[in-house]
Amino acid sequence: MMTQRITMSVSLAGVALLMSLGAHAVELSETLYAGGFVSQGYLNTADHNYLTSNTREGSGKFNEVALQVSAQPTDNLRVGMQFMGRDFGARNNPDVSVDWAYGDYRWRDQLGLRAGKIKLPWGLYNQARDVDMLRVPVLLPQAVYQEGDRDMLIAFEGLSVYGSIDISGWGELDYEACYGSLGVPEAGIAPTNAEFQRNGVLSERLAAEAVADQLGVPVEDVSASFADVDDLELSVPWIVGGQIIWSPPVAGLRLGYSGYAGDVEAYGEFRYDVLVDDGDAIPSYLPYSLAFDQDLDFTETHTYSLEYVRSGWTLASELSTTGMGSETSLGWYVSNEYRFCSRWSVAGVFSEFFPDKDDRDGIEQVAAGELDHHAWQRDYCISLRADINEHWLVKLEFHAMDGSAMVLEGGADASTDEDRYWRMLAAKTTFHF
Amino acid sequence: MAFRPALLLLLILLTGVAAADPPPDLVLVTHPDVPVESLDMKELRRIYLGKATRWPGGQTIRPVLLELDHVYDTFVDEMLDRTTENFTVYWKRMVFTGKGRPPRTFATVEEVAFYVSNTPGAIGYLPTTARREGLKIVAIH
Repeated sequence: MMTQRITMSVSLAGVALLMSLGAHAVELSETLYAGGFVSQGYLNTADHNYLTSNTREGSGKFNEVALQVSAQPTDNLRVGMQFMGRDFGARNNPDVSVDWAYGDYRWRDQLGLRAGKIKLPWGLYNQARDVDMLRVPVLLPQAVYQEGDRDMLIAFEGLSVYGSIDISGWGELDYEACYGSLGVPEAGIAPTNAEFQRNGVLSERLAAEAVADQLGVPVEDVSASFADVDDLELSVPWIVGGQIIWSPPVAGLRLGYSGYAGDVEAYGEFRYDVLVDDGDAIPSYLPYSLAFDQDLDFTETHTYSLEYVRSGWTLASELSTTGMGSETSLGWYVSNEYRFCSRWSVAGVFSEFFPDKDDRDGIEQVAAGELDHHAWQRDYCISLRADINEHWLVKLEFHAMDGSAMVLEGGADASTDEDRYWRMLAAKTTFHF
Repeated sequence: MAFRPALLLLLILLTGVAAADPPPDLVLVTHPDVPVESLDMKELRRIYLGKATRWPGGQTIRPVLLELDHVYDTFVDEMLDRTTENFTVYWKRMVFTGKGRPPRTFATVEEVAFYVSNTPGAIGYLPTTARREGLKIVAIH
C-alpha cells in the first residue's frame, strides 16, 4: 500500500509538473534538458490471465510514470538519469526506481564510453520499450519483447563502448559493445520459476535419499513429493555482448543484430512433503528442504532486426532466440504501422513464440502430460492510435491468440484456463513532454 | 523464379536511394568560422540526428531548428528525408534512453540568425528571403 501511495503521489506530481510546464519539452538551459511521461493502460482478456493481475476481470494495473533529466557539462560529456514508477501487477512492484543513470563520454563520433546503469541495446526497441508514444501498438510483440523479461533486460550496470561510422557508399554503421551485470528483481522471475519447478520434481529421489539417510531407514520406505520452490534468487553476475545496426544507402532501412552471452546463477530451496512408511508403524509425514545452488551455464540470446520507415509507413520484423538451461526459445514478429494523417495511425502485428524451438508442435508437451498448445503462442494484433494533441495520445488494440505458451506462469496471476484460442483487448493513454 | 519478389522489393527500396535535390526555398547557414563550404544530404542528416558532432578540425557542431511550420516541414521532409513525426519519435527515443537531446529549436528567423551568427560551430537553415548578415552560406549537394 505504501509503495502504491508513493507511485500515485509521483504520478500526480508528474502530471502537475507537466501541467505547470504547459506540456512543452523542458530546456532548462542550453546544457540541461528534461522530459517525462505518464501512462495508464487497461487489459481485458477472455479465458486466460495474461501479463498483469487478473486480466480476465479487466485490469488497470498497467501504468508508468517517468521523469528524466540530462545535462551536458562539456562538449564531450553528458550525464543523466531517469526515475520511473511502474505498476504491472505481480511483475512489478509500483516502486519508483532509477531506470537508467549513466555518464557518457564521447571522445569521437566513432568512439564513446558509457558507464553506469545503461539501457540494454537489444533488438530495435528494448531500450525504449516503456516509452509508449514511440509506437502505435500498446504492447510490443511479446514473442520478442516479453514482459516477463522486461525487468531483467531493460538495463545493465556496467560499461559500454559505442560509436557511429559513415561508411561512405555503404551507408552507416552504429554499434555498441557492453559488459556488466543484470539485476533480477524478485517479481521478474516468475516465468523462470517453471524451470526450477521441473528440477524440483526431478530431485524428489535425492530428497528421499537424504531423509532416509538422516533417519537411518531404508530408502524404499521414504517417498518425497515436491511442493514448491522457496527463496528463489537469480543473479546474472556478468553479461557481455552488444548491438550493431547497419543503415544501408536506402533511405529508411535499418538492419541489426544483437547478441549477448551471460551467466545465470540461481539459489533457493526445493520444499518437499516426505512420507515415511515402513509398513508396520503409522506412516509419518514431515517437511524437508533441499538447498540448491545452480549455475545455468552459458545463456545466449541472438536477435536479428529489420526496419523500413518511409512516408508514414514503418515495417519491422525481428527474430530472437534465447538459450537457457536445456531449452532454446524462439520468437519472431512482423509489424506494419501506418500514419494516415497527423492524428490517426493504425498497425497490424503478427507474432509467434515457441518456448522450445525443437518442440513447435507440442509433441513433447503432450508426452509430459501437458496440452500441446502450451508449446506455442501466436498473436494476431490490430491497433489504432489517436494523437489528441502534440502531447496526449490514446490507443486501442485487439489481440486474437492461438496457444498459451506465455501464460503458463507461477504466482498469483497464474492462468488456470486451458483454452487454446483466446482474446485480449488493450487500451492505453499517455501524456508526455 | 523464387527470387523475383526479393528483386522487386529491392527495386522498390532502391527507389529511395537517389538523393533528392535540396529545396530551392531554404538556405543552409553556419557560423562564419565553420570550416566547410558545402555539405551533402547524408552529412546533414547525420548532424541533425546527433550522429556527427564535430566539424573537421574538432569543433563541436551545434545544430538548430527553425520551428516555422512550412520551413520546418520542408527541411525535415526534404533535407533530412524523414517525416516530421518520425523525426520527433527519433529524438524522443534518444531523450528517454539518455542518448542525446534534440537540436535547439527557435521560433523565428531572427532568433536562428542571431544564434548561428554568435555561436561557434552553429548550423541552421533559413528561408532564402531572410537576411544573412554575419552568416556563412553553405552549399548543399
